[in-house]
Amino acid sequence: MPSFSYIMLVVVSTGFVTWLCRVTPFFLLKRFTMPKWMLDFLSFVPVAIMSALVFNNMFIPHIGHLPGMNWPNILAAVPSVLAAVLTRSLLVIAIVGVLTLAVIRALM
Amino acid sequence: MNDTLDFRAGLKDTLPTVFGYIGIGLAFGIVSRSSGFSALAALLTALITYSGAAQFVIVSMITAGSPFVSIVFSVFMLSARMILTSMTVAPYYKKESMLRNIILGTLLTDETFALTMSKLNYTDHRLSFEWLNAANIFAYSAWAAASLAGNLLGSLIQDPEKFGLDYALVAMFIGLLYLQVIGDRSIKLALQGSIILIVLVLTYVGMIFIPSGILTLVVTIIACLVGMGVRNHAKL
Repeated sequence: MPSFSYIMLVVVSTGFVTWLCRVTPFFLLKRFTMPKWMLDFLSFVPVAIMSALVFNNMFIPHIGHLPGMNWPNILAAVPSVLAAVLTRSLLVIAIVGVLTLAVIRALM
Repeated sequence: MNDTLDFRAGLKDTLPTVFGYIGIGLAFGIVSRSSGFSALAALLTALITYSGAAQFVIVSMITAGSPFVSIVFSVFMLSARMILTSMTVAPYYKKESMLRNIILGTLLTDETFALTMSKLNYTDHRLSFEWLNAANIFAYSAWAAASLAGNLLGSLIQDPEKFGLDYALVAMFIGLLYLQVIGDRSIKLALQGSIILIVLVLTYVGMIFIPSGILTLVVTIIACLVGMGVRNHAKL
């Protein structure tokens, strides 16, 4: 059983590291202006990072082997995409995704 | 989502995300309880580290008895992608005070970042402190409350995955990605589609040899570089 003080040491240290990653760009960019190539690079961040976060959930990694398919998540993505195209409402998309996955897991 | 940028609109726009925070926060609480974290320890982990993936890493590495330095390093690798998300949002707040910049940066997450990018397409590329602050605070509170509840309920909830709540964030990212592709006219549709395909292939191949902690960061950087190269050379 980990001691409370050790957990806190880890939490505060990792919290500080994470905070630095979050805040340093705000701190620096308040003072300095980014060069054009960097802005150009960053313009691709939204589409790239959002697709990466989606695809991460579609496969199951096995280091040294081909990833497995996360079929429940892949199947639940189909109605979610349809809901996105039809409604463009994040709330509807989230509800459709959650309900579909709940049904898939109940059937499996 | 519309072009309103007040505090209230921030809360409203964040609502779909909150279901995901509740689902994953509960799961974190339950895992933390079974690994010997007290309710206070779980709550403080959520409030101080405040990063879903990092918190699961912390619990499993502490339980496995990993050295302190490797826990902190693993979390750093995992959090490094936030340098990119913060860099993307920060220029919109250049005119706000340093304190406001630090407040927004402190609570920015993958989810509120993605909401912000989507919002830009409705507001003619304007953002407000009130709107993002509301989104951040709502997300932060939901996450802390769910983590605490999960820890306290621990043994009562047998299988939180059964309800599919954890999928709310995945579905939301699917929705945000779609809105981004149709809304962002600064990158041609064909190029956006190519980036998505490149990310799909890189994620699949990357999973064979890149540790999951740094996969998102590595894949994002490569895909952005490819996008830049293609746009510059093909004049897309």
